[in-house]
Amino acid sequence: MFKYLIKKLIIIFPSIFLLAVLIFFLSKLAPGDRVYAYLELKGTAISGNRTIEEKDYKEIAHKLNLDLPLFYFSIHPKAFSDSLYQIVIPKQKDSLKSLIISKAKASDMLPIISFYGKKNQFHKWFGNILKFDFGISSIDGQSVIKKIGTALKWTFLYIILAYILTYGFAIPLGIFSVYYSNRKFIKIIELKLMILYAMPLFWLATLSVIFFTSDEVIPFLNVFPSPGIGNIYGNMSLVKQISIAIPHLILPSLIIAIHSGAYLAALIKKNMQKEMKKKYSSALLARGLGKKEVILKHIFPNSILPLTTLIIVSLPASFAGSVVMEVIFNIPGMGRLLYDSLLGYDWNVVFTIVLLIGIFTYLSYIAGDLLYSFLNPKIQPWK
Amino acid sequence: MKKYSFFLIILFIAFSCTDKHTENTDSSGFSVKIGLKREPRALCPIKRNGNIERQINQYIFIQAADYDPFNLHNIPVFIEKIPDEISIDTGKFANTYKYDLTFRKEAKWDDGSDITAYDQLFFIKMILNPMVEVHPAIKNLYKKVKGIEIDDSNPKKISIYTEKNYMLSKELVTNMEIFPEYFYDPGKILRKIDFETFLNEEKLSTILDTLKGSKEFAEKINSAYFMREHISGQGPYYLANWETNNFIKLKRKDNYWGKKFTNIPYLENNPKELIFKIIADKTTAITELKNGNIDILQGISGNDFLQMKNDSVFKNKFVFQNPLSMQFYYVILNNRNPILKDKRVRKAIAYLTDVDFLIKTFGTGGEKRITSPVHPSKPYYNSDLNPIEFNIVKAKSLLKQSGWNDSDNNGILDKIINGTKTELKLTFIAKGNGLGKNIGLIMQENAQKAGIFIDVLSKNNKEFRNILKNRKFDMLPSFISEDLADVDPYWDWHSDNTGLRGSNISGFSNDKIDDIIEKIRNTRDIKVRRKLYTRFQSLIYEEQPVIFLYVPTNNIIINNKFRAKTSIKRPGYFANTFELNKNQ
Amino acid sequence: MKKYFWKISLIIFIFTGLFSGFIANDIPVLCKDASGYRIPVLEKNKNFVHKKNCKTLINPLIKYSYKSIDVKNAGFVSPFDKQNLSLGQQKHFFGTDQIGRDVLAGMIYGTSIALKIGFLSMALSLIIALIMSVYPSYYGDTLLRKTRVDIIIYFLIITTITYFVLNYELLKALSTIQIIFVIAIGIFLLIIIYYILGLLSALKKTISIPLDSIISWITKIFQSIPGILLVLILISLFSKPSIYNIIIVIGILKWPLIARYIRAEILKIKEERFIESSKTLGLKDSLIIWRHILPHIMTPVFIALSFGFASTILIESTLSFLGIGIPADHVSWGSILSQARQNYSAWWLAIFPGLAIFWIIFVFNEIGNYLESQNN
Repeated sequence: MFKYLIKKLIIIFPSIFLLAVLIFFLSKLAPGDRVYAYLELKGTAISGNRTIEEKDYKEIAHKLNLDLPLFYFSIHPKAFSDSLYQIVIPKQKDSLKSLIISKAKASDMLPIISFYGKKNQFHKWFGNILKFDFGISSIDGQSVIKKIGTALKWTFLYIILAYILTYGFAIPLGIFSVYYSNRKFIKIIELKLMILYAMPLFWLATLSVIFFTSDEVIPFLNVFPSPGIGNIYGNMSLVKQISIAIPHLILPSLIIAIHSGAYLAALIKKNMQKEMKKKYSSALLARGLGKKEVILKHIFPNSILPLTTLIIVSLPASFAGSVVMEVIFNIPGMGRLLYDSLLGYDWNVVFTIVLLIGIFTYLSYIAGDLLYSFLNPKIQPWK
Repeated sequence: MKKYSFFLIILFIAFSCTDKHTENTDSSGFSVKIGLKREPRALCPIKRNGNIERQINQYIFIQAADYDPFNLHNIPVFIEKIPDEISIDTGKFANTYKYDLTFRKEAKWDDGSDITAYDQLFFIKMILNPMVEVHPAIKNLYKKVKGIEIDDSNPKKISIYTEKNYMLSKELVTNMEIFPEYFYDPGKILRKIDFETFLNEEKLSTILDTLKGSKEFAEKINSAYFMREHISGQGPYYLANWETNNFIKLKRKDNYWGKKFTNIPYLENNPKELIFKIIADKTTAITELKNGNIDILQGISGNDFLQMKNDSVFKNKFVFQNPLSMQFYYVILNNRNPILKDKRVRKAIAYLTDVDFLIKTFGTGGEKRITSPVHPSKPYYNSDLNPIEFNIVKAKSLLKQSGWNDSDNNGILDKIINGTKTELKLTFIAKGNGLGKNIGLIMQENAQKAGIFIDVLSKNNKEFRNILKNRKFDMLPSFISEDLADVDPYWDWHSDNTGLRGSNISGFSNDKIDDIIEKIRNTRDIKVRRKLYTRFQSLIYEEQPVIFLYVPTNNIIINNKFRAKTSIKRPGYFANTFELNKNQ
Repeated sequence: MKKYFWKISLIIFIFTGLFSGFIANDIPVLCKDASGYRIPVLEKNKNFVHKKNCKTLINPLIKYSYKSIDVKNAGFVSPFDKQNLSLGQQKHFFGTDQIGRDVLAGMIYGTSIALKIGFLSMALSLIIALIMSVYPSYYGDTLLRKTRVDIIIYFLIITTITYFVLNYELLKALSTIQIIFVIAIGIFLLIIIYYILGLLSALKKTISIPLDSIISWITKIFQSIPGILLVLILISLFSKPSIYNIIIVIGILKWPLIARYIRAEILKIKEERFIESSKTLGLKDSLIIWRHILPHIMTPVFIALSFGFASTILIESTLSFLGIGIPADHVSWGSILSQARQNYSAWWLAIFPGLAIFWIIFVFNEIGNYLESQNN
């Protein structure tokens, strides 16, 4: 068993390295001139009226390591010299490239591998990452880790809350609908839930803000506190911050729970009905076990086995938060951060988030697999 | 079952921790809560500042002199009086104007030290320092300062010499914020360089390269350290808390020196705190306003404003103000496009734009149409020019006169330009899904009736800025904001500035208008200048280089527990002057 | 009763969607002029200028198009308000939005949008899902056997093609003879390598390619990318927002869901006897897959497609709400619904699209449930 574990763990490091390489190259494809973004950050380049001097451009490009080759090596046609990377000004690079292309000969297509050693952009970037330095945001200059950390705090809170409420709501509902499957009231409840599920989330959220947080429509329904996370000061202790924020986060979590819980309950019900049809359940009933006991102690555990891995595996992705909920409920979480950063071309933040989610997803798959094998004695790959 | 009732009980306990209606009116004072739709990028007057930044900055940094928001006169704030303009024709500073400023003896910084000439000297040096990143427009302005003299025995006095050929040289000198030298340059690095050196860029760069500490100084000034975390100014409030994306709190300075000047609104600090809450979603912001969690919202759309105003539940709880704002909306026409180079086509588009409909649909009723790039509040506004009416017939005839016909019967006019058959198709680039896009769609509908095809595209902020920068559009909705001083039309309307680096975005150029602009810039006699402005407006009206729309109102809703006056001066409200309404 | 309900709903939905141009438009359906009968609705003209020349015979049911702006009734006019109508002008049965567009016409056009987005994006998802899941689940991890040489050559072929694609501009600049020459050299080298490697007996061994594990790993990675991230990244790759971009984005977003169903079904069917007997008969793999397996899995696939269809409508309305990737004059149920947020008292902007969205989702869910019960 240990051999199995160790094999799985060793693969993590090269996998993460590969992931980093992939994300690095992806980030190079992202639009937007990095030098101009840097200038905008400093408040210098404005209203599209300014073009900058060549030497300034080169200076900033040098500061941002843009005059280094991309990777440890590169495979390029003979036509392009191996020091093409040194030209940073886009116009010059483009015109040089067109010149080379116009003079191309057949022999120029020959692939050449050039080695650059450690002085390349990827190495510097990766080295910084290992030191937990993810750079600064190109929108407001704050350190990326700080921005992500603060946003993650709130997203984490309401996601965990939402998970608890969703499963706390869907599981008993699923069980009840199987147990009482012939009763009318279950069917009515299911219908009501379908209505809630069939509404777009943003609409459900907006309605709940109007109805439940203000006196506007029905005054005595004003039960929940205002959207947002409350008056939290940076110098408060973490516990105090969380205790102020939690009441504000209950409504959004509830809305998420109701919206996805309906679907989940139906899924659980379907799974359980499938299990009920299997031979062992009728065997158990024939043996004299009560219906309640059969359902709770046998059918239910068997049907939620795939669910447990689902929970673990979907956790990292949900840390990207829900943009819709965060916009409407005014929560400064990861969803808003991601949305603002993507639209503002803040690539340091975006790709750091992508990297972190990628790493955690990968780790959660391993954890999920292990947990599944652990829980299900039938599938134990090390036996 | 028991477990679930337990959960429900916990939930109910959590509900009861609602925080609505927490009143902050304890005996030490009241607070004003303001809703902002995004975070400020930085709190620093020398950067690119938008409406959001300005709303917060104005309480922390004040100008030495400024226009009184309520009577619109330029009044001294922390200088004793508005200086006279002395023309210097000989000597070291020949061909300049001299201004002598005296700072009020009461004026002090947060650490108790006096506001002195050295601070202003530092501020100007900092702006001219090439290593400090400053909004280029500001940098260009301060390049007009030619000399500074300080008498060491009286550091409250300063003499500043500026170029003669700048129309607003007095305002340049008097209406400036100043930074405290002790706070932003504790090492007094910039003192080590004479002011004369700052006039010579090469010499300055050489000295800065070798001067110890200058690089660190610049880096620190440019970093988040001074942009977000450590901020100190001479205004009546100081930055107490900045919780990212949540709120910013300004607290009143105790024993503020400015309090005794009761006739200067900028020095008032009635509320003990100003809390700016960041609320990105507009609907949520309005809900918060109705809840009492924020007290004031500015810049609301016309629709929302009117809705609240007519709402029976809420209209009595709020004060609704919609003064004209110091800006106007217009649709930039890219005059570089051969189709739009033709004056008749531009005028036809003007006839096809139903501005009254736009005002009726999106406005509050207080908006004013404009006919030229001069704001109606200016004393030289030419009110004789009639706004162009919505008239499809006139538009069609202008287009016909200009040679446009629908030769292939496809509903779109065409014409042979430079040998090729060109259709009258224009691209309209809007930012996002707001007012600009709606204006585009309406113009599209109306233009279609005369055979012009307008393709409306909406782009996100970044793309929009790129398109604007590279002039890759035919029509672009935009606005021009102004200050209360007389405006120099050179930057936006002179042919010198039509390049990619210039602010004449429409690319419009006309010799007669260039001529008038140059005359305006060089005329110091206000009466003569104003006559020239009138002529300028008529010439622009003739040419219709862009489609002038209207002056929007600045829609402000204030909780009526405050007594507040609004003003045409940006941002329209001055929270530091609010008072509690006694009859509450 | 229930069965008829959703069948009728589906027919109404498809009919309205297909013929929305005939049902709600501001130009006539049929008119007669000097050149005979004309159907303006079908003509390419954006601007039907010859209105006066052509005598209208049949008008659409609703005399507004989804984008025509009625200036007299702009600013959220309710269906029950007194509307400012000129002589002969039709009433706005569902009211208007802020700039004066008729909501009923918008709803009808929105049906065609919902239809288009739903069907086309599901079709795209299906195609991608089929490509990504049929062969892997059929071959599993053990059945696809190739020699090591073959695998190496496939890898080299892909690398070479990638190289040529990445340096496409350089290739394009060469004269045609040179291009042929370069490609020929490439092929020649590959063939030589193939033979040389083929000589080494060690490489002649056949091994099985764990296709299923590889592809399901890729699918898992894809599924673990947060939806919003994927949407925003894909949208930013398109220069001009259009409805086809949305279709592509939703199609790419949803394929893992369909693939899951396909894979589960194929795995189930693999164990059926008739597949084994086909294999012993010596039938080629591709024949078995396409002629025998695929027809059997279509029913569960349609179940997945029905459920998927419902969610595409929700995704589109969320995109309209966030304002991402939609063209400027886009009108859909989602866009009308998101306008309702601007003005709560304009209930007609919320109720009608809300009901329509709910109705469609209900219908497709019922179809899915029905198919499922048939399947079991």
